[in-house]
Amino acid sequence: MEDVDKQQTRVVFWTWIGVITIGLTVMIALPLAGR
Amino acid sequence: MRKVIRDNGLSLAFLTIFLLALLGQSFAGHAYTNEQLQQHHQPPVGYFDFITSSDFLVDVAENWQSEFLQFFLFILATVWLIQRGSPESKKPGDEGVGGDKEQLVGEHARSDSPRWARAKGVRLWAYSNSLLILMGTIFLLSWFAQSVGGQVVANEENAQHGSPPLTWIEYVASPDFWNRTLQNWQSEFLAVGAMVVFSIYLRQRGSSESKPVGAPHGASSVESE
Repeated sequence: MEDVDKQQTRVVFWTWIGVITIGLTVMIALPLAGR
Repeated sequence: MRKVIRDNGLSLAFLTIFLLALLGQSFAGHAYTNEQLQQHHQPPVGYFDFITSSDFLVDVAENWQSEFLQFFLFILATVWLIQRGSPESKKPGDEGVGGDKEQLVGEHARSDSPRWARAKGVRLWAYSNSLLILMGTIFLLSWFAQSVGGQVVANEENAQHGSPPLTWIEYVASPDFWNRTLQNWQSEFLAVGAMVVFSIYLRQRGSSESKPVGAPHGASSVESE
């Protein structure tokens, strides 16, 4: 895999981790805050 | 740009339809909630208030937890259990975690293997199980999210009916929590089992989830390659 492809694949991976992390954070924090 | 989309089409397509479906769920859920409020002669709730409410979040969380549990169990089960003829399974006799040579770890790692595949001890163990660990962690966190969101919703209803609020422990032992949980689990387990079994005899030409069309029914994915 070329460097540019490796970079893109990493961006895709971390985007998914980011989306899931944001989702989990919101779904845990707001109910705990009594929303 | 075209190459980026082609190289990552699967993940981009699913990210897009995930976001669209979540947006659709938020619109439909908002409309449904306001219908219910109207029937009870209560004022409507705003869209932003709805999507940040436990009412909406618990519905999202209960589906997330079951999906990640499904993959967690499937990844774990396919290490040790076999279904003869399924492309989702290893072939009979290959049960277990495999040897170091086959897994390209330690001294058998190649020059292009991930760095942690060359490591030893805890680092190699962690990397060897990293997919399962991540899926399991997301499952537990989304299940926890379901429990705290569900508790808020249940206690709002309790307050309306003059019942005392439930503690978190009381809520996770309640029928509501397990009804939300198990109604999602049953469908995941059914669909995974069906996929494992149906793919023994049925094919989808061109899909990585299927054996080649002409592969024999008795061959697993590894044998049919």
